[in-house]
Parts: sequence; C-alpha cells; structure tokens
Amino acid sequence: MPFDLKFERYQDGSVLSFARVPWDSELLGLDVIEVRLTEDDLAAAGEALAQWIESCAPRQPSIVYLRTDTGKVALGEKLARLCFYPVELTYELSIPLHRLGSVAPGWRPRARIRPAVPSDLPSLMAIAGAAFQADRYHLDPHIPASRADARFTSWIAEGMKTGDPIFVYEETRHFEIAGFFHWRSIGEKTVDLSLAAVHPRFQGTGVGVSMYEAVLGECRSGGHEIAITRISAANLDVVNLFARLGFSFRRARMTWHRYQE
Amino acid sequence: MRLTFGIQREKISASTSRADIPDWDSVGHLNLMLGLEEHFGVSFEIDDLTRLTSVKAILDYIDRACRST
Repeated sequence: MPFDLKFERYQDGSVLSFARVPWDSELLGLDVIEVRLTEDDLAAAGEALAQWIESCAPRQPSIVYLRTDTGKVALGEKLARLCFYPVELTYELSIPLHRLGSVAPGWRPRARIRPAVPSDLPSLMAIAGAAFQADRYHLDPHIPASRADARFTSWIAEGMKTGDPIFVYEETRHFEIAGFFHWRSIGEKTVDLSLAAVHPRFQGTGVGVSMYEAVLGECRSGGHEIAITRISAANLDVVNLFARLGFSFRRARMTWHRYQE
Repeated sequence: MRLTFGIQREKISASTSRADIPDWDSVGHLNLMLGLEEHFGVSFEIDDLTRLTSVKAILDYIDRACRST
C-alpha cells in the first residue's frame, strides 16, 4: 500500500509543505491535498497558509487537510478564518504489552485469528464498507458516505492484492468472519495496529473486545513489547475499550478540512 | 444485571433492553454474559451475543437452555 507522500515545500524556507494524496483524490473524485506546517511560528504558519491557498486556487473541487495538536488554539483560530473546519479528533495511544489487561477475564470465545486468504475478500469488503463511520471522511458533510465507504473497501482490496498483513477474527461454529485487522511492525519490538473493523452485526456485543484482546495477545506472544494505535474520539465505544485494556493516551490531534467547490 | 450495571432491581423488567441502560456497552455486554454463564451454568457462543440484547431475549435463552439440560 502506498502510504508515503511526496511533500513539496511551498517556497524556499517556508514553514508550509504540501502533497497531493493520489489514492484519496482518485477515490473521492476530489483533489485531496495534505498540508504540513511548522507550528513553532504561528504567525508565519498562518501567513504561509493564506498565501498558499491564494496561490493555488484549484481547478476542481478539493479537500485540503492538515493536523494540529489540540493545544494550538491560536493556530486553530487562524485556520477557522481561512475556512478550515475541524473534522476529527484523533488520539494516539500506546501500551507496554506486559501491562495488557483483560476486560472480561474468563471469557473464552470459540474464535480464532488467522491470516486472510483471497476467498475472504468479499466478506472483508462487506465489513470494510459498513464498519467505519467515525473517520474524518465519513464525518465531513461534503463527502458522500458511499465514497467514504469506498475508501475502505478499496483499501482492503488493494491490501489483499499486495499481500499486506491482514488477519481475520473468525468464530469457529459457523466460521463467520466477525472482524479483521491489519498490523505492521515498527522496528523489532513495536507493533502498530493500523486498522481494525468488526462486522456491524457483531458491533456492541463484545466481539470487538475479544478480537482486540486476542490480537494484542498474539502480538505479545510474537515478541512485540509495545503496541501503538490511533482512534477517532468519535468512536467512543473503542476509546473506552482501549482505556479499559490499559492503553495510555499519548497525544491528541485535530484534523482540519477545507473544502472548495 | 443488577450486579453488572449497578442498577436497582425494580428498574429492570422484561422489556428492558440495551437502549435503556447507558452502561450496557460492548464491555458491559461481555461482562453481563460472563455473569450469566457463571450464575446459570450456560455457555454462550459468539453468535448468541448478537441476539441477547434485551432482558426478554436473555430470559427466553436461559429458559430454553435449562429445559434442554
């Protein structure tokens, strides 16, 4: 999966750099551009952003997005003046896996984790297309829900094609896939749970709890010492779950969008 | 339910469902199921979790389970 964007500095020495996000642009039918600002100098950041927006009046509808730490209220005010609106508060979390707790000790569901195989793809796409509702594209009123859904179905299809480490959580009575997840190792000891989803039918039933406990247990057994992940503050059920599992909240980031027709 | 969610007995009736109890979230649901397993000696499958979302559904399930043993 192509996650690396090529950022271009707006001007020599500018505090602003930007990159077009090709996969999101294609899927959403909009120019999607990520902006990064050096936030140390708020005045310079705000000015550079205003100039850049002025200089690149888009030829087609666009979404420009950037992320800020939540404490940067003055920058947030500048962003609001430039027609940016906050779409998603995201928490970055981590846990040393030796401290992993069990939310429901004694619960031993008949389920297993296994690597996804090509024949799982229709189930995975159905889950991916229905499970995600709390991300910034679903929350942005300018993006049709069907396109936001397509972003995830396309992601999982592409991930399967390129051999990404995607695993399923399958109940073993009817062998129904209850959820899936994707992780990647960062160095030798850290694992990033980059995406997880539970089939809508199983949401709110505790199956996600079992899945996360099983996944994190696997990570620990596999020699990982720390797990990191991110979660949208809008996804309160999972926020609560991570808190109960013992995750620490390391950072809160606000994502801002600016939509232009 | 009284032990899991800390609510008074008189506030629980056959028509009580998840929507009536704010703490009946996914973790609460799992703890409720565990409590029922322990108390009644039943064993739930993952599939059962999706159906047992009201007092009536739980009573019916336990009634059937007790009759079949």
